[in-house]
Amino acid sequence: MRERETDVVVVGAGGDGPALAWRLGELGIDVTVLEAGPFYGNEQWPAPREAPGGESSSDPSDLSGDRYDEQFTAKEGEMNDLIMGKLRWGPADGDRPAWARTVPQQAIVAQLAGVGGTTQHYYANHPRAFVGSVDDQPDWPIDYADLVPYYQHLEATHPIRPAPTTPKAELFFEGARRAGYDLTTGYNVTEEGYRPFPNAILQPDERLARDGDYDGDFGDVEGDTLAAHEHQGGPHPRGSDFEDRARRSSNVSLVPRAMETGHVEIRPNAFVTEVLTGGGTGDPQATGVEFRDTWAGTCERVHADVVVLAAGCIETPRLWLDSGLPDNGWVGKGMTTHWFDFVAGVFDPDTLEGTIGQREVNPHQGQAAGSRLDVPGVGGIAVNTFAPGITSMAMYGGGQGEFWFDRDTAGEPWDTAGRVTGRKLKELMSKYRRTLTLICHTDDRPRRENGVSLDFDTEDEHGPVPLVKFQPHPEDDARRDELAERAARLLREVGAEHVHRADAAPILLHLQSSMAMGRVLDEGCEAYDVDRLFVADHSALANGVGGANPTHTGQALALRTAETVAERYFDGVTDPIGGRTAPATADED
Amino acid sequence: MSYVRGTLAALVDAIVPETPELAALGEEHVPGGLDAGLDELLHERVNQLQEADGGVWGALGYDTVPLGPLVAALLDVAALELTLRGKRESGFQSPESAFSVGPYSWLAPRDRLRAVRMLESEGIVPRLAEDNENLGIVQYIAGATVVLVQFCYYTELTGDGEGSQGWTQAGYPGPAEGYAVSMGYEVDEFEEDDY
Ligand SMILES: Cc1cc2nc3c(=O)[nH]c(=O)nc-3n(C[C@H](O)[C@H](O)[C@H](O)COP(=O)(O)OP(=O)(O)OC[C@H]3O[C@@H](n4cnc5c(N)ncnc54)[C@H](O)[C@@H]3O)c2cc1C
Repeated sequence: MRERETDVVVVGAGGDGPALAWRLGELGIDVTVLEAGPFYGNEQWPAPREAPGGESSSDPSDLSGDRYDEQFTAKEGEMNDLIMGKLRWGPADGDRPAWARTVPQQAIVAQLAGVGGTTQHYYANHPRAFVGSVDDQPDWPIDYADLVPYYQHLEATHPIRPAPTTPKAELFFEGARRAGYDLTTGYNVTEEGYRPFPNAILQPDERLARDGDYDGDFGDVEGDTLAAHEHQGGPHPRGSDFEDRARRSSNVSLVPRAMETGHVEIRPNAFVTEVLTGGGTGDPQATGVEFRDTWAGTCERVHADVVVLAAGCIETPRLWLDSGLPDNGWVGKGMTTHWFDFVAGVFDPDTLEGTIGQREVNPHQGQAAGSRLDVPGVGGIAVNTFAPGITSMAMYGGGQGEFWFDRDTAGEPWDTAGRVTGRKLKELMSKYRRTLTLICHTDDRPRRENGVSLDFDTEDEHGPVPLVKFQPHPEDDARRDELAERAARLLREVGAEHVHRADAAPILLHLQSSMAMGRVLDEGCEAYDVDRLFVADHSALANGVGGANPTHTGQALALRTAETVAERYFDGVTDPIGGRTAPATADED
Repeated sequence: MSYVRGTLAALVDAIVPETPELAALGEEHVPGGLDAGLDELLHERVNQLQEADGGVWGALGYDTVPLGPLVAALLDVAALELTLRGKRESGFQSPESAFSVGPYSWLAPRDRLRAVRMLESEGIVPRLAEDNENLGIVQYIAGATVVLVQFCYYTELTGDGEGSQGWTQAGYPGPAEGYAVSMGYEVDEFEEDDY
């Protein structure tokens, strides 16, 4: 078996792993990042779905905008098919099926493999955690103030800016105003109010004004082209360098920075199957990992001073449990999902003309999600728009319970609810361009019943597959109902002629807190029960950050964890982002 | 038409039927999923759901577990359960020529969806799954079929890759390079406010 050594080995190049790798690289620490999925937009892998390609990449000149353009077509079937699409939880090899997970209930799981992880199709919404979710809820062992410098660092880096107003956002804002909400303008959310999303998307070129006269082909603009293709991979503007793409998914924004440090190597197509441990009589100590090449099927080992798990909320606990590491009862548990729901409003052309000066909403134009309403303690409501395949799937196909025709909505704030089918579906979808879709992100709370364990009856080439369960608590249901009611009211206020509530079955798309700090990890995100083993993905978050989109907090925490790794096991940090000394090890506490 | 494809066709048709009633919106709103080969797309995906990692299927030379026959059989079981429990709301109908001859294909469209509910939460399978978690995967697959049908239909997968019936019916022009739709900023900069 091939064996290698490095300073730090990171499992997963998803949303958060690259943030940690970048910071470690800046501190002069050598990092190998092992990623199970493909590396799109890289010269080493000219046909990532068809052939093994190169082995690893550490040279930023490997990154290629041309390859990204070829591979990311922005077609939703080709990109987003959860089973056969380019963006899926599965091996690079397009002829093989997706990797198995056992989900013994009605649910949709949307987690991706590949460099960039699930951010490859994220909407780049980067709000901070709601202040109260960190300081008032019982979960976090650190204060909100500890996160702020890291948030600021990312806000300047990606960068993160207020989303531009587009017609669909204006429709939402007007609904919010009429429903009596105030505009808020701060980063730190403590009060109810509506605002543009803080987005990690470069601002659009000023020429792209609705009342302007731009008639080019968008090949001559910098920044966002308002093409609304975030979900399909968000590769615009075409023709620009890889790292200049407007939507700042971690592969575009953080991976190039990590590689620029000269200390970070990324090895895709490498599925980690075991955390290696050693040590004497005390707690086990992580010493490296074993991985399987997803093309060749061969296994290799990387030995390191520190191991960081950044495989996401499902695979990090799965790897932990498959490796036989100690379980204090919270490993994989306490998972939050924002217990999503969707509410849509369909408008007639005259109403739209009067409100936004055009006769269609045009959900396929402008940033996919650019405006939101914060309801601290309950969650958030955001404009969330998609191309028609995902619209139909999320709004009309993913509900729980009875189909629409078996539901009595008399007295409800919506006209239809549940899964819509048949003629009604086709009628509603024929009004796609006059529909505004809103997502409700519930501030669901960690519960030990929810999360990940192993399904010993189903094994794949990497071991027993994860068994994933999520059931909301009645209080989470109540918060979600409240959000759906507020969303319906907002849509009615601005004149929706038909309101539909999806009553969505669990959608495992925002996942948090399955390896939470304070329960499995200490204040520095090092495991209580395994030395030199850290977690740097959303599973380390202590809760669902109030219902705010989680990646800003996940990445902020990952930066902080990188500094803790350097403090505890390397030469320390002379200039910490947080301007603090990292917390002592659990042993020294 | 094979048994599996014909059973999936009955499901597809219940979700995205042909709708002559919508001709008033334009002729393009009439054709349904079967006109676009949606049953085949669903069949393909159901059979790709699970890799045959060794085991019986691997030994027989399959790369993936052919779940199609299982899904079709489950839909038939659910059709019978719906009927036996008196939860069918319409009488049996002669199956369309594209459907199979199994009981599921004899159900009226809405009853076909009520049968899906039997698999998800009301019927014997979910009841048994309370004691045997492995059966819970049936609940997952049942819900996933409805999602997959809707997703595939309204993407380019039902068309030639450049467009599709679903896109046309939704008025979606396909991916674009961009849109000049900026209306300025509601907030120019966020502030570092007190908390
Ligand atoms: C459609 C969509 C839109 C979204 N929009 C937003 C948004 O606007 N804002 C927001 O904050 N969040 C958004 N999210 C959620 C966000 O993308 C995720 O929360 C985030 O990517 C999670 O980061 P992570 O590092 O925890 O995990 P991931 O990004 O999932 O990364 C985990 C990585 O680890 C790899 N991996 C897993 N197991 C192994 C293994 N054993 N060996 C090697 N590698 C492994 C995976 O392949 C993956 O690349 C969205 C999600 C979806 C699906």
